[in-house]
Amino acid sequence: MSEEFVSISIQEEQQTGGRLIKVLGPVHIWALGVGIVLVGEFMGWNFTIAKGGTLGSIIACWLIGLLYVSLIMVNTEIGSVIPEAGGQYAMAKYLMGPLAAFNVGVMIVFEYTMLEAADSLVVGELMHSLNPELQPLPWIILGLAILTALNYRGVYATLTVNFVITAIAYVTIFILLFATQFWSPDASLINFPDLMSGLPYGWLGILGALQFGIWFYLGIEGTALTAEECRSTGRSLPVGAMIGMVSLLIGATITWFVCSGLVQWEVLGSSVYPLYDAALATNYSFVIWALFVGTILSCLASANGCINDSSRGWFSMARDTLIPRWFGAVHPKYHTPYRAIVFLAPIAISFGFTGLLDQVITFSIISGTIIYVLMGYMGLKFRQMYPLGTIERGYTSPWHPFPSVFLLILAILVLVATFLGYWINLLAAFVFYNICSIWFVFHRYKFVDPHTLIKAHWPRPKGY
Amino acid sequence: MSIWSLMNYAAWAVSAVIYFWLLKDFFKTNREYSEDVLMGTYVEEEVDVTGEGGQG
Repeated sequence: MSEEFVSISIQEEQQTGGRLIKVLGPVHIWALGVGIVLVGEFMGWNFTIAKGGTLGSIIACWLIGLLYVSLIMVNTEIGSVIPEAGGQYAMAKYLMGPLAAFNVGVMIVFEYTMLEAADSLVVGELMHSLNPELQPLPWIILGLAILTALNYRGVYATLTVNFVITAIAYVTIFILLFATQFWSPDASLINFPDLMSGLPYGWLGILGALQFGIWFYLGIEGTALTAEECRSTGRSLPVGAMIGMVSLLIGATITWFVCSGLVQWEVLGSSVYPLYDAALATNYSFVIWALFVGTILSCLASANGCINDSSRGWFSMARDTLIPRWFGAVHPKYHTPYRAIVFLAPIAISFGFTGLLDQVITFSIISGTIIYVLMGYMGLKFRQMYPLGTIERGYTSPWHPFPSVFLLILAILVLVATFLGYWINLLAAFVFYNICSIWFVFHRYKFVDPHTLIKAHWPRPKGY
Repeated sequence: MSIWSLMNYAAWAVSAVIYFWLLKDFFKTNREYSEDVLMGTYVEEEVDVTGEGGQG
């Protein structure tokens, strides 16, 4: 390598150092959103069936689908005018102020870090299921090491890999669907007469099912966290997120259909890997292997996207001085928030060490749901502060204010449902975030630089 | 020692190599570049609502 070339490379790094680069298109946004979520089709969603039977489950699937469609509409409209990393955190910063933004930022970090830990725990368990001599821990650590290194090396490669593994995992659901020969009532493996189990616990069962219906879509809103790295935020974000949401609605409905048709609802309600169990019911070895691979890939894709999103959340807060600015560094060569990525890795590993999958994932869901309530409020406030015509939007959500109102009501309903089943976890989350707020107000707020915090030069809001 | 136990050790070894590389590059980068270069800066850009985009 010549000295001149080295000199030019260093000059380029100095010029672009400290900046995330704009390399992502709609495909990467799809890969990020669907990649994080798809694991929820492979496990977790089936607890809706334990609460509400197959009928309650599909009602929860579509009601929560409505919540997420509303969320994506609100999220994408606000996100399309804030081309900053941080997603909902950046939105809260502009619309609700530093304390709310700090809370949303911490919630984002915990939502994704805990989901990442849960994904890696499942990878470890799946490897252990191959042979009892394979211990889960080395595979948990290896999975996290590979994905952390990938994220460290660059966002383009990270999300390109995510696209490939997410697409393969998504296709395996269709392999299972077509293996059932659902189109032929005589030859089909689907047990059509018992597809609907009714409502074993009545309407209250549907409320209980809502909490687990979140699994079908949890994390799709994470698409907004890479807004700053999109080649064209106004195009990539809406296109990627909307197609992602449609993909998930289709995937969720097919998942419900094949699992409910192949496995008895009482068994399905307590299954650890419902899609894999449905594949076992077909007795086709190719389908069984496909779903095994799909389950592992969906976990890896989810953990990969979670590392990406949690690090962007942490990085954005640091860059805005809400937490020590040291974490806001960008790798001069790879253009990734490398300090945030390295700092969060041991935290995810330590949650992985606990082995408490249900506790870890419940904290993630509660953090996400609180953000959804705030997003509903922010959707209303954004239109009030910046009515149409006052600020140029990359995407304008139709039927305002219904998306924000639906989002607000449904997210509160999910919190009520969570309270019924996991009130201690909910209480613990509120206590934790209140302690974080107290720390911020008394110890951190004095370091916040308002000029660093607010970057976009928006017009003065209406009424201010 | 069975092949499965060896695979466990291999997973530990590969993890150790990856984390070593990661930490090595982490400290090297912190040492070689000044904080001014590393600190995330935000360059405000017009929001592209036309969808034409552009390479950054």
